[in-house]
Amino acid sequence: MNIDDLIQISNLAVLVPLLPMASFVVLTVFGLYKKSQIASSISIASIFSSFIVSLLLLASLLSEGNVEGNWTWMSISSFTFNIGYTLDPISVLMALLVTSVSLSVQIYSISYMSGDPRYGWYYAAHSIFASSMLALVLTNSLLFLYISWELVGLSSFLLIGFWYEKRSAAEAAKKAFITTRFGDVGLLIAIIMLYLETDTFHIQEIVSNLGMIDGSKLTLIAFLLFLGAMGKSAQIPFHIWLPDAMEGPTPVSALIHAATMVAAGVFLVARLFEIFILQSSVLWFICLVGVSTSILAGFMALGHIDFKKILAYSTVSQLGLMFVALGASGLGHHETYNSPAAGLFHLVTHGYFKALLFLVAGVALHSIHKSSATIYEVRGMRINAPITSIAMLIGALCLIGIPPFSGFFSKEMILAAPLEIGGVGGTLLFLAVLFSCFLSAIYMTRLVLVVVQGDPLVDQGRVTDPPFAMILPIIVLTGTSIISGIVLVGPFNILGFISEGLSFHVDYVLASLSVVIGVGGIIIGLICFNKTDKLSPDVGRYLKPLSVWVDGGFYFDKVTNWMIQKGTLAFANLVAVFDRKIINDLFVDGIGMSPNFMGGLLRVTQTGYIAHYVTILAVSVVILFGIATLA
Amino acid sequence: MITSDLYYLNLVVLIPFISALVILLIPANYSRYISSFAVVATGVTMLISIYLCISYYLDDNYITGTFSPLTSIQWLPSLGITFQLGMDGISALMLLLNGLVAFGGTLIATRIENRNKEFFVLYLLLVSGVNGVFVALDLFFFFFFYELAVIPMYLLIAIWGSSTDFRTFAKSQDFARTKEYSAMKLVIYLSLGSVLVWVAFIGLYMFSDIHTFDFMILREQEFSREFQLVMFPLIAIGFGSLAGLWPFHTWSPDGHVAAPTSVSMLHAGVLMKLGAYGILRIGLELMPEGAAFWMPVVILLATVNVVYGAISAMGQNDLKYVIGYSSVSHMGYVLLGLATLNVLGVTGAVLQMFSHGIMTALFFVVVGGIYERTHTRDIGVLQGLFKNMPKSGLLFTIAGLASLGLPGLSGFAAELLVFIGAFQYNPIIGSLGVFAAAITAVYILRLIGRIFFGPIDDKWKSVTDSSRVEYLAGAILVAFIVGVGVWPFPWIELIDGSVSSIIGNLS
Repeated sequence: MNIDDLIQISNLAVLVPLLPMASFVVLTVFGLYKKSQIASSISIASIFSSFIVSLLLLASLLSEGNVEGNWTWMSISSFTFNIGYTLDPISVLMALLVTSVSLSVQIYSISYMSGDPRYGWYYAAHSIFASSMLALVLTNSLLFLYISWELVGLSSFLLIGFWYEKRSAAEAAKKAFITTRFGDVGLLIAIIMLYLETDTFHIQEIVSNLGMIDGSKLTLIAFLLFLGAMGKSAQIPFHIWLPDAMEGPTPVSALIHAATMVAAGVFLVARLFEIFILQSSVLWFICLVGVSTSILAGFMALGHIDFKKILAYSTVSQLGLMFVALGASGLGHHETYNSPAAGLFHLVTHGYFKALLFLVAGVALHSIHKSSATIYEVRGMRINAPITSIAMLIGALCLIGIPPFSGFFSKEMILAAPLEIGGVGGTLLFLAVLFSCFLSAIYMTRLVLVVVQGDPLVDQGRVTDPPFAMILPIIVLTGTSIISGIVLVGPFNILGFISEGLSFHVDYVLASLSVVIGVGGIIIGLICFNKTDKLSPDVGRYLKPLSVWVDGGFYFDKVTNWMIQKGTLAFANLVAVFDRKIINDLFVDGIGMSPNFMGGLLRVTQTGYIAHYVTILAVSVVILFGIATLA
Repeated sequence: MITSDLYYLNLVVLIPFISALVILLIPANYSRYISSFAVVATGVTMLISIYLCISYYLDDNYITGTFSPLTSIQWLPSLGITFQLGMDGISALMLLLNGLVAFGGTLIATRIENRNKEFFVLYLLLVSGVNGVFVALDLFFFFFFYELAVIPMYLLIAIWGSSTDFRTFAKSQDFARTKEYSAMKLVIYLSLGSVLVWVAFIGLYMFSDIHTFDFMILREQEFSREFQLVMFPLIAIGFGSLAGLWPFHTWSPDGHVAAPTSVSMLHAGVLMKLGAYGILRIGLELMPEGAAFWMPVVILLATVNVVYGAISAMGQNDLKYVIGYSSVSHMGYVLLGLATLNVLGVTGAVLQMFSHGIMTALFFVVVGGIYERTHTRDIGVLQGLFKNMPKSGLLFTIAGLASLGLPGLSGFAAELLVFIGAFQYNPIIGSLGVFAAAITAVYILRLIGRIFFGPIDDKWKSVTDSSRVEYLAGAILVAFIVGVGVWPFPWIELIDGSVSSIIGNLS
């Protein structure tokens, strides 16, 4: 490789993940995490630089088109490993999302986490998260994607378990890591299978060689890939880890468990869309998983009273919608709809407004000095926290999909996708998505009503607007949540950016339908949950038959716990006992003891009495003599 | 070739051996000098191993996997025995492994007060024997060094080991055994294994054209197919039981548990690798057809190892037994990789030998430390130790993450190669391997979550963190775990040529 190749703006892409990685190394290896102020400054400076570089990359992409950098990292007799980046609309979009939300959250955390004994370590963990997440979105190699994928999981583990002295936090961290890890089994198997079929990890090359792979094998590969995506993006039945992950500090939930990491599964499917597009059975499966997750999680959000868990279930529900968008776009008959654009668009808008909602939740929890609280504990936010309340209202309107806020545009794209499939299946899917949107309108209305309205509890502190460092990111994210929709469909055509020739066009019937559903949900929510004071277990009154199920999280947690306790661990104990009792005691010790036992039998004959020996001798002689005469 | 390397190669075997003799001459009441001397001796051995690795790599020998340097002295010409040492990339990596683990173990063993003179004599003999096996290129001396490594084990466990104190367990349990039982079982197992191996060696000698034990001559010779088919199982079972091949594995968790920390480190870290090394060096290289014939059986057993070991580990509630069974599971990856008989799989297996060696040694540094401070190994009793033992917790977590195959640490690079190799052989076997890595995550994270996280129990409020010596031993191992993980390529390159030449023989 020559110098000229190196000097081009797109090669700055390697800096995007490397800067936060450098920050992590400096903070941990050189022990700087002990110095709080320095630690946060280094981490924020690195993520800010990454953000600036990402903007430069966007400029480079717009002027020069897709670029790729590829280097041979290692080549031995039978194994070549390349490493590189790919700059295309998907990767740059994701890099911008990750760096901007990371930056906001890290600035927010300055004051949110101040005074924590492990403040510096918090920033170190944030740095390694940012680094691996950015590597995940920018890389052009499936192997490196898997490596970053796992490291993202590690940083999530570290940050969920940040307050490890709490048993619940330690358990939640473990649960998150293990649950996603089982999804990753599928991902790794799929990657290895693709490697063995195409002899490369390079994503573009794999995609262009898909024709070489046997059809049924490709279906299996697509299914296994989606398994990995389901784990990371918390789709049923892997969703159980995400609500528990709220044990981590709230800014972490905003960044990792709402905006970025959990969206990695959606990103994976979008990135490898060409593999999925040929597999209609897998695409239907994706739609089915997505829509059922979306509706069930919507009910769960409606049933819970914990502030952060409501948001977590809402995240699960929205991720489900993104998968529906991806699956349905792949199935659509319309040529131009065979693009991951709709799913990614919602990923971006959702990333901003959900991060915003979590940061609002953080303000509420910070004011009452708790790490988790029910929505009833933080009532009356409007009184002392007007800015936060408005931000929350806007975030909610985005999520419900009221124009002109961002969610409206991306949700409409999602609604349009199933209609493109047509047929009974497409129609049913469309209705189910509509219902999920309706649910989200109800639970968001309830959330806002309870939190903003009402009188604060006397013994809890009041929710107040936070200091500048915390309110600034909230204002910025509010701004992006408002404008991102319009800007991305208007001046900056995100859909055409992702897939050429695609553009947003308002389907007035669909738009009015979606607004009617949203407003309808809000009205029903207002009717049901207006008198908040009397309605603690509020769902119980209005959705009686469902309440038992909803409260229990549809028994997913119970069933998995039962399976782990009674199934897996019991089986493991059984194997352990088998190993000890059968293999070791019976066979090994048994064989070891057998000479002893045989000797014991023979010892009986050696009595030491002359009389016995003479008797045996005499009897033997008689017997032998008898045999001899008979013969 | 640098001729001075020749002396260095002899030195890795001789220094520990001679040091053992020297310690014999030091009066026992100078115990501090004895331990310092042992530290210096293993330290120098480690440095020489590092030097040998680097010089082999810089010399470009690794590309073809030639043996270098070669020392060869006629010993008993009438019986065809030659004192012949040499190393290729695989031996170099194994020497490095033994150097690191032995040095770390010696650092930990400086705490030993009871009969430390005898301890270090035996310990250094063990180290010398292990190094000898890795560089011996004559079957007679291979066997000699092998026995030299096995016999001291018995005394080391039986005298300095620990029997389980059942009163320290919350729930009654009948898993653990006394140290005498464990030591006895270990030695019987390894001796029976060595008998089988010795039969095979004699067979090789008898059926070779000029009746020789010389490995360099034997590897040029082709043995008849029938001979190979009969002899290979002896090698596979004999060496396999040392490598923990299912169902000949039960000695290993017991041995791990009963042995003192530094011996556990050597035992799980290096001694089990002797078995895998033997299969690779003798089995695959001298009996390729036998290997090709029998490997489907080995691969099935190895898969059982991987999955069964992981599930058994999940069912334990004794800290050391969890690590013991995790060794069974991880050695399964080594055997699985070897049995695939393709370059990726075998390369992965050798790298996994190294990776598992340093990682399990690190586990034992921490576990031994915890046991010494709390006098219990019950997972149900230990809780929240991270608060008081952040250094131990950090070391343990790194070892744990490496063991569950987290990218960026050594386990991932090795396991990935094994997985790909296994997939080439059979996708179902490969998938089971990947799945077992997820089970590993379950028991490792459960362990970390139980003993380190959560609120600290009042009982452990006064427990102290790793001492400086422990932390130093751990830090050296961590450096290599991270080094191999972040930059696995030189390590793969180092062994690739040697592996390719062995596999090239096969087809």
